[in-house]
Amino acid sequence: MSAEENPDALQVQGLTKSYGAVVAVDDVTTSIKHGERRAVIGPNGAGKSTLFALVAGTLRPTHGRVLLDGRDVTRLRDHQRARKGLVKTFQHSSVFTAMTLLDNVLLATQRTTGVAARPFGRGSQVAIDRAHAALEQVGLADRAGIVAGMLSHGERRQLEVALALGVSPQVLLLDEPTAGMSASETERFVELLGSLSRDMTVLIIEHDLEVVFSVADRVSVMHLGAILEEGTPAQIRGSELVQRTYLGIGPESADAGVGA
Amino acid sequence: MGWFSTNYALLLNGVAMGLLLFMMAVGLTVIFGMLDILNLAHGAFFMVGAYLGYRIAGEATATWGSFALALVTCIAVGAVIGVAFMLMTRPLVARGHMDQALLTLGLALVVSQLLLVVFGKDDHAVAAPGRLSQSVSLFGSAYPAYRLAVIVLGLVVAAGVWLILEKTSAGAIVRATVSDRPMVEACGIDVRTVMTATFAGASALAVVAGLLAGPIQGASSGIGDNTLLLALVVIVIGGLGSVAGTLLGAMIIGLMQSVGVMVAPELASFLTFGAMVLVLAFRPQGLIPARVPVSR
Amino acid sequence: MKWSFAGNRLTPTLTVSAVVVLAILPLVGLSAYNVTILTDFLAYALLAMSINLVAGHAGLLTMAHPAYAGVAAYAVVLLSLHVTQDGVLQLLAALVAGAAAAAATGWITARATKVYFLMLSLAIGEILYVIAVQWRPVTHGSDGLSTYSGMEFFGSGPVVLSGFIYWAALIVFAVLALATVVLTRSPFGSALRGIRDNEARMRSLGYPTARYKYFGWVFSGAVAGGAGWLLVAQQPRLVSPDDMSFQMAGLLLLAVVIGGTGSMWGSCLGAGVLVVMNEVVSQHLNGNGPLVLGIIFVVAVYALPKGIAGIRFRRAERSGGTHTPPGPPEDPTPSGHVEQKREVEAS
Repeated sequence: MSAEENPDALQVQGLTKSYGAVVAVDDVTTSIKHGERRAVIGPNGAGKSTLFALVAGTLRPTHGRVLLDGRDVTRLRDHQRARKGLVKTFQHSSVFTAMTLLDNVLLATQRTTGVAARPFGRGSQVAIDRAHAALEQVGLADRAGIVAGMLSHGERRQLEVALALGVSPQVLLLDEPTAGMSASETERFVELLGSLSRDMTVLIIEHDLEVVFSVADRVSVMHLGAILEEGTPAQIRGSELVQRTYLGIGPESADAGVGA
Repeated sequence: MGWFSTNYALLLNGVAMGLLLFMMAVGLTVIFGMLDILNLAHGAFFMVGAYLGYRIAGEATATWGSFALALVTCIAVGAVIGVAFMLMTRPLVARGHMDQALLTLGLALVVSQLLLVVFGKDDHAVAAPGRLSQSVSLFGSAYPAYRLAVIVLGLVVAAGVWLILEKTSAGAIVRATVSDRPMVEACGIDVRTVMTATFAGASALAVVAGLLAGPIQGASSGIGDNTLLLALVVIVIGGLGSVAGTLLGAMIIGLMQSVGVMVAPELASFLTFGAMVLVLAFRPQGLIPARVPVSR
Repeated sequence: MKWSFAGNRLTPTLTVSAVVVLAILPLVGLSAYNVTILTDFLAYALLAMSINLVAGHAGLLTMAHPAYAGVAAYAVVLLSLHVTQDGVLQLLAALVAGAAAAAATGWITARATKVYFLMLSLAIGEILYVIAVQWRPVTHGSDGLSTYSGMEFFGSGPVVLSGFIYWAALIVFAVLALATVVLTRSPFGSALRGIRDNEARMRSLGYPTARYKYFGWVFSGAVAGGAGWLLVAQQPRLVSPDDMSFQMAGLLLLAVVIGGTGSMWGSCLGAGVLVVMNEVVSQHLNGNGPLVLGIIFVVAVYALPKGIAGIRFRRAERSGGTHTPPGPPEDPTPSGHVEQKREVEAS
């Protein structure tokens, strides 16, 4: 591969985060191709969210690099990476509860239509249209005028995706999006994920293995801060090493249950 | 030693002031650590003590009896005010800590204005009891006996606070509530009683501090705000929620105010608040962080 | 009576009417003294609005802004004493001074939030107060600084008639207030409110939140500077450290809260209550205005959670709404120090 050709949407090289003697993320190296859906699974405390935080830039690594589309973004802060298209959602639902859904997504679309900092006026119609489109895509178009605080948990997760879509992400990091969702909400969410354009690369931390197997192209299994194994969902399902590790940790991680 | 004998007065003044500040501020920091309420009325409590001292102990002279009466009254009044404040802030718990802080700001205004209505707007003095109103000979010059008594009493109070917090089960409960309130509730302890009692104790200490400061500072309309500001600096520098930190911070500020005012008067206040800014901006957990994390 | 308060905002008609009423008041026989009080009201209303901008719309409760206004007032008086009586130049100096003071200290907006920020702003205000008291050569310390020269506008002679000064003040007030309101209703204003409600989220959407807060802060400092100009517009043109004291900062903050954090006209109302109590009622209450003020505040905190501005009935749901009322946010987190390295808890 020549240097100019960079098929990888996201690369992490030797990414490490340690707090004194505790190593939360241990020398993680992996590459994710454009348009890929990569699931990151592993028991609690495996370092998945920390990894996401390092990738998104809300945490500074102790060692290692993060490359977005071949460019080293390790030095960039979280909001700068977001401007470059690296967008993370939050483990605990994080929307603007006092604002309407439309206003929520407008905050996102405003930013990408360049009017975010305008100190006068109403913002652009383009931004409003894009906000409606994003809400449409996640299936919340008819509730645009409702205050976000009134949404159900699953709907808030949908709104989060709409927020992320509003800034036209290139790489989308979803941190346990289906946690706390009912079976039908999860199903709807999986459909939503399936409908996302392949122009976008998606990384998803998930505990719900059914979601993983429905959505993911490849799976990275994390354990004690390091990547234990990587492969297709089928490969991972059949991997003895993974089974041993999971069974050794506890039964709840092997559950392919639907969260609720 | 030569420098000391000429300047001992400044140092002792600083220590006395520091201990009084500690008495005043320790309640403020514990209330913040336990309840997340920034009680901006704490200065007004201090003011209550000073005015009670003026009225009960006496302005020109005071006997041990009248001073003791004032002391008891201060403790009682302080406890009552503390309970009242606790009750008043309860309904605002759902509205958040900023609203509670603003409520205490409004209450501070009411309390301090009420004092002026009742006692008038003139400045008053508070007399030291009995023989303490005189001076003793120290290092060849006269030093007010009362301030020495304040130092002694201040150390006793500080030791007492430490003993109660560290060595009694009640104190352990208080510390635990500051650290991890839900856990204490889970143990079946009525946290509300603990918090109310703590607020009462903290307020009583502040009122007493005002009384004890009376013979030094007097009772006037500005002391509430001035003391509150210094107390805020103290608890920030020491570490919000940290009793040991408050003692350290109080001694630093007390010495800075007394020694600093002599050595570099223009800089003293500037440095005091400058230190507060620096700590808040760069080391918000203070010099001796409380065991509870700064942002929960 | 049909009052339409779409989202708790004054309709343009109402606002214009209010301004017209304010404008004709001197003509209906108010004494010069009362006109001066009205000018004070404009000053405090503008100061309250500047506080509301950062407190209500960016979540930065501040006790520093009266100090910024004070710095501007000192700048105006100094300019008058040493350089020029031109009213416009004095106004510009005030705006620049207020903005500069805010710019020099605005770094605190990136260092703390909520209660910690309140204390930080308090300390900043106190430092400026201490400078005003101790820099005697320039500020004359606690005696205060005054100038007897009236301002001149566009080549007129010195204007000392309180009525004319009042109209100039009203114009300045209206312009700065309008600018502030325009800002809050702009995309920038929405962004500020987003940052207030969920800063981490805004960052994840690509907003450089520190920069937004800082610019909002500097703008509000300029508006506070304008308030400073208003404070020393009427004779006697006196500024003293008391104008920037902790007491003043507390009163202004309470005024903003009582009016309704987030509502600009609420802030004006709150300032009105402040002025009425202090100046007018005080005379009839043996100077106990502040006590009544305190009682009003305490009652208001309980009875009016969203301040006076929150009294109006709001329709619960509006379809296609692009303007969420900028009310005070819920405050679930206790203290609120901006974690220095923005650490996230590992899962």
